[in-house]
Amino acid sequence: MVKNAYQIFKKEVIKANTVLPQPVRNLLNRAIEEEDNKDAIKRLKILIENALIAEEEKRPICQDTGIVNVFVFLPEGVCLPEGFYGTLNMSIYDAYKESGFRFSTVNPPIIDRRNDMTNKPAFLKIIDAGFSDVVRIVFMPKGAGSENASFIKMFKPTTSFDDLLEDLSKRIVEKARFSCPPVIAGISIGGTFDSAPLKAKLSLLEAGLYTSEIAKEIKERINKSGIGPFGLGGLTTALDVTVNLEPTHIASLPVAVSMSCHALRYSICEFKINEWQDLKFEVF
Amino acid sequence: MGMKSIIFPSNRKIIGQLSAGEEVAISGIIYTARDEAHRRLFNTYIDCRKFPNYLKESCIFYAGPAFYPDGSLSAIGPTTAARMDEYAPSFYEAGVLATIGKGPRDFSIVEACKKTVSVYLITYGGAASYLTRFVKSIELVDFDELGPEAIYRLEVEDFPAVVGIDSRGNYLDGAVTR
Repeated sequence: MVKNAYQIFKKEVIKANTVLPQPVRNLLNRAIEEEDNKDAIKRLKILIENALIAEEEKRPICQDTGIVNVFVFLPEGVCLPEGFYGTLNMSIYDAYKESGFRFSTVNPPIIDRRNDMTNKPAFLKIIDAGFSDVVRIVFMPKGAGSENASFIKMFKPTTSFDDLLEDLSKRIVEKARFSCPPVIAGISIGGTFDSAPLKAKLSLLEAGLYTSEIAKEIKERINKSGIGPFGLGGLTTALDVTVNLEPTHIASLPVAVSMSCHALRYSICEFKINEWQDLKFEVF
Repeated sequence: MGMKSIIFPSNRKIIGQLSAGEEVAISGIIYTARDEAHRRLFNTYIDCRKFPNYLKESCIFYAGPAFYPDGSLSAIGPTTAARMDEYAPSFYEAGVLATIGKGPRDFSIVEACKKTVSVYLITYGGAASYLTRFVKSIELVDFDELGPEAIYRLEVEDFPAVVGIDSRGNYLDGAVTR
């Protein structure tokens, strides 16, 4: 049977906006167990309830259904078929139009800033998946509250490890207050001016699944701030921290932080290479 | 629940009794307005001292709702209040009694709330499906070309919030920038 890419993509975009991924739910449940502030526990439970309502009623988890980041992990030797980008954009437009998601893009970004009510375009990144027999596509809608709180800083390469952690934790805390705490901070250390923010955003996909000593240390420092859920006090300022490390230049130490709110939304679909090659793409 | 009820439109006597940290349940009529609507209202207010009557003694909710194709509300939640800081003192002066948003604001908002006997209320950022349950109806009022950024009139019942900045100069840590 020939599968239709448009239908599959549309379903994934809807799922990403309405179903909070299980690893993120696990993080919320763990935070409730660890939290020592009664009001904060009550407020974290509101976030769980919010996720349940969203899934049951097929409503957006957050009204800021954001801009849709799309990551295609493409194995070497496999190509992007003709019509891919058009199909992708059309599936996003229709998913947003039909599901009651907010159209949140304006174009041009200056002066007119006109909302053309399409939520296009998809922000597409093709990522080399090396030798693999699976094409993986990640749909990640991301709101502006957390995107505005994201940053990159070019540190001095001689910055001590402790100073680096302290500076980063402080910056994340300050930015988290303007985002929607509890946050999830995706960090990438090293690389280049443009690779670090992408790797930081991708590292968010590891939240609740994988942690490292550096991530634990940064999370601990952030959670000493007392900001808590919704900025109203408590232990849980960060639900999780993920850290990616990349080789870098001898004179450089770029660090990017891609901030996410508690509503870290994504959905992942995978295709075996033969399925991928049989997939039907419409040329819109 | 220990939540204090407020009904909008309200008055300064009632608003003046709210204290920072107190949980409130908001009912009555409130209005959404965010970035672009603020810029436009502000320019009109500064240029010709005109301000919409419906916003006087009322409450502005910093929010951009999402809608189903049939026009009904799918989700609504607060946006970052700090982006409206440069306009808020003038709006309080023009008669707005309360604003609802999320996150910390400039200290000038504490001064404005004290001067005009008004408040800043914080609600739950990122809990839009939950918050939508407290909205009974929604209706377009102004700037329809702005889509989600237009001004909408909301009828709410027991909409939850916490007093972030009260009218006596008190505020929560999470309500003011350091």
